Amino acid sequence: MKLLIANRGEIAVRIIRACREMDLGTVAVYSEVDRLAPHVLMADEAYPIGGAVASESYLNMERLLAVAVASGARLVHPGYGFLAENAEFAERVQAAGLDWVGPPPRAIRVMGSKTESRKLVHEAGVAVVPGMTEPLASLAELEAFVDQHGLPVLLKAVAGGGGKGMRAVTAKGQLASALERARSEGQAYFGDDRVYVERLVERPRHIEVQVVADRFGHAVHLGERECSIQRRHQKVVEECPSPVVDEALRRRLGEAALIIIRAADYYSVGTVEFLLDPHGRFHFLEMNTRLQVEHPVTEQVYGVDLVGEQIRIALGQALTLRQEDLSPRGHAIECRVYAEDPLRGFAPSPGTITLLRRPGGPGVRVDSGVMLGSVVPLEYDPLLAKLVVWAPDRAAAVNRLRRALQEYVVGGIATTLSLFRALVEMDAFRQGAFHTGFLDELLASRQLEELHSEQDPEAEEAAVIAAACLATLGAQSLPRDPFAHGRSSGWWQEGTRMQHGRFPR
Amino acid sequence: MKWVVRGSRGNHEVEVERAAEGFEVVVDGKRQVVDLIRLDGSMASLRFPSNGRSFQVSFQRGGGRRWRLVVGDRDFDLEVLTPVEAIAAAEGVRGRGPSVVEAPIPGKVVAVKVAPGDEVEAGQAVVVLEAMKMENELAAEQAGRVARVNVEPGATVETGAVLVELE
Repeated sequence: MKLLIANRGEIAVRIIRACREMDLGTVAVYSEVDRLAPHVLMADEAYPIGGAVASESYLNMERLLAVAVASGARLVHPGYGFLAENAEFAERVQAAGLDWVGPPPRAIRVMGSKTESRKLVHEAGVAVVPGMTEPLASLAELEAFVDQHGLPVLLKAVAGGGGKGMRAVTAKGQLASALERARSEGQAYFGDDRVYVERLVERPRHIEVQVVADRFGHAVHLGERECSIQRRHQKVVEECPSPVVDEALRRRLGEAALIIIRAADYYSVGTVEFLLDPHGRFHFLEMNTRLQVEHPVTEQVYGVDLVGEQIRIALGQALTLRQEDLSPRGHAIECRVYAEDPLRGFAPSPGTITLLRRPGGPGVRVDSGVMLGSVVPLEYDPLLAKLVVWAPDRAAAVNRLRRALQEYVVGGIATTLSLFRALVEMDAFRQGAFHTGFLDELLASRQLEELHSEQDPEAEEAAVIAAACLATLGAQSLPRDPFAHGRSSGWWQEGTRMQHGRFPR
Repeated sequence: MKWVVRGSRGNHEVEVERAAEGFEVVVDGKRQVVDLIRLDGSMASLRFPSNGRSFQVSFQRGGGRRWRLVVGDRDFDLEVLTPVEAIAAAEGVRGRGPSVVEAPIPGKVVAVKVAPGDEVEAGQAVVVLEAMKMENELAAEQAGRVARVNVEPGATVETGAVLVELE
C-alpha cells in the first residue's frame, strides 16, 4: 500500500518517516526547484509536478491527482499549508477513490471559515473572542466596528492561517491600508479576499488543544500546547505542556475542544486554538483541521505518533488511545528554524546552505527539510527545520535547548537560530512569563544584537577585534581579497551546479 | 591600520598592527595581542594568548563596509569604517546622491504605489514586495519626488535592484 505526500520540506520528510514505520510505500512530488530536496531523495517514488511557483506545482490539484492515480497510491496526505485545508481537494481525492488523510471535507469547510466556525462554537456553548461573525463588506463597516468596540482590533482573512492575511490595527488611520493588505494576502495565499474583524485580546497566551478522533465517534484530547512566543502572529517557539496550565484547566480546555469537534462531526487529528487571558479565562480562537507544524512537542510528551494515528484513522481503523491513559510526561520545546535574518528585520534569507551541523545527544529531535548544499528557494514558506527538545521538566528542557542551540550551525544563509540563542537566556522565557505580544514588544524595544552584546560582552569584544583584523587583512591584500567568498566560492558554485542537476566536481 | 567599528551599542576605536604571530590590537585604548587563524573561507579561530580565551568565528562580508560575524553562537552585524568614513557617516554625508528605494531581498513586486512625479514622504510605502509568502511594504527613506519607477507589478527582482528613484 502506498501513500502520496502532496507537500515538501520537513513535513514531507516527517510523513515519510511515519509511513516507513508502518510499512507503507511513499510517493513524493516535487516542483522544478525541489528536484534534489531531501523528501524527494528519501521517498520510494518521486514525480515532478510542475514549476517552482506553488500554483503550478504543490497547489496544482489536477497534476497531484493524476500522479496519485498513476502511481497507484491509496492514500493522499496533504501535510500542512498548501492544500491541507482545501475542502475541494479533499473531495476530489475521495472522488478519485483514494483515502484523504485528514478530516471530512465538510468539517474543513465549516472550521476553515473563521466566521462560520465562530458561529458553530458559540452555538455549542464555548466562549469565542468578541468580533464579527460575517466578513467585512466595506471599510465603513470596519470603522463602525472600531467605533463601537474600540481599538486595538485584529483583521483576519476568512481563509487565513499561519499569520498570513492577518493585521493588528492600533490606530484609526491604519485601518484602510491594513484592510487592503489583509485582503490582498488572503487572495494571494488562500484564493479568498474576504476579511473579518475581531477585538484584539490584550496580553493573551495562545493555548491550543490537540485532538484525535476516529470515524466511529471516539475522540480524545492530548492536552495543550503553549504557542505564545510569536512574531507578528507567527508562532516561533512552542512547548508542551504550557507553564501556566494546571491539571484542572487542562481538563476544562480538553473538554471544550472535544465539545467543538463533536459539534463539527470531526475526525482525524486537529487542533483547537484558544486565547487564555491573564485571568485564566479562555476564548475559542480558531480550529486547524490538519496536522500542525508544532505537533512534535505533543508527540514527545504524550508518547504518541500523531502522523501514524492520522493515517490509521484515514484507513478506517478505530482509535485505540483512551483518555484515561493520556497524561503529560516531562516537557518539550520546539524552535522553528526559519531562513530569515533576525538582525535585519527578519528579512527572508534564501540561498545555499554551505555549512550544516545539527545538534544531537539526549532528548534532541530535529525535523528538517534541508541538507548541506540545499538551495533554499524563494517560492515557499521559509521553515527549514524544527528543533525539538524533551526533558523531565521545563527548567531542564530550557537548559537542553540552550545546549542544542550551541551545537546547531547553519552557514551560508541567515536563520532564526540567533534569536533563540538570545531568547533562552532571558528571565521571562526561563520563567515562562510571556504572552503573544512578548517577542514583538522585545524586538521593538531592543535590537537582537544588543541582547547578544549584553548577554555575552566577551563575544562582542571578540567580534569587534575579529572584524577589525579581517578588514585589515582585506585592505592589505587588495586588489585580490583572499577573504572574498560567497558568490564566488566553490561552495556556491557547487550548490548552483547541484541545482542544475549536474554532479558537482 | 585604524578603524572605527560600529556595533549596536556604539563605536569602538580599533588599531590593528600585524605582529610576528597574529595581531597587536588596541581597542578603545586597551592593548592586547590576538591570534587569528583562518580555518577556511568563512571560519577562523580567534585566540587571546594572555588568558587562553579562544573563540570560533564565522564571518561573511556584507554590503559596503559591513561584516557579519558569528562568535561562538552569538551573531553580530558590524560596520568597519576608516576614521574618515566614520566622520562622514557621523555627519550624515551620503555619497549616493539622490535617494533610491532598493529591494532588500529578492522577491516579486506585487504593487507599485507611486508614479513618476508623485511627492512622497519619508516612511511612505512605495512598493510592495512579496518574498517567502509575506508581503513586505518598502518605504522611502526620505521625502522627495519620484523621478523614475523601474519595475512593474509581477516583476521578479534581485537584492539591491533599484525599484524607485527619488529626487
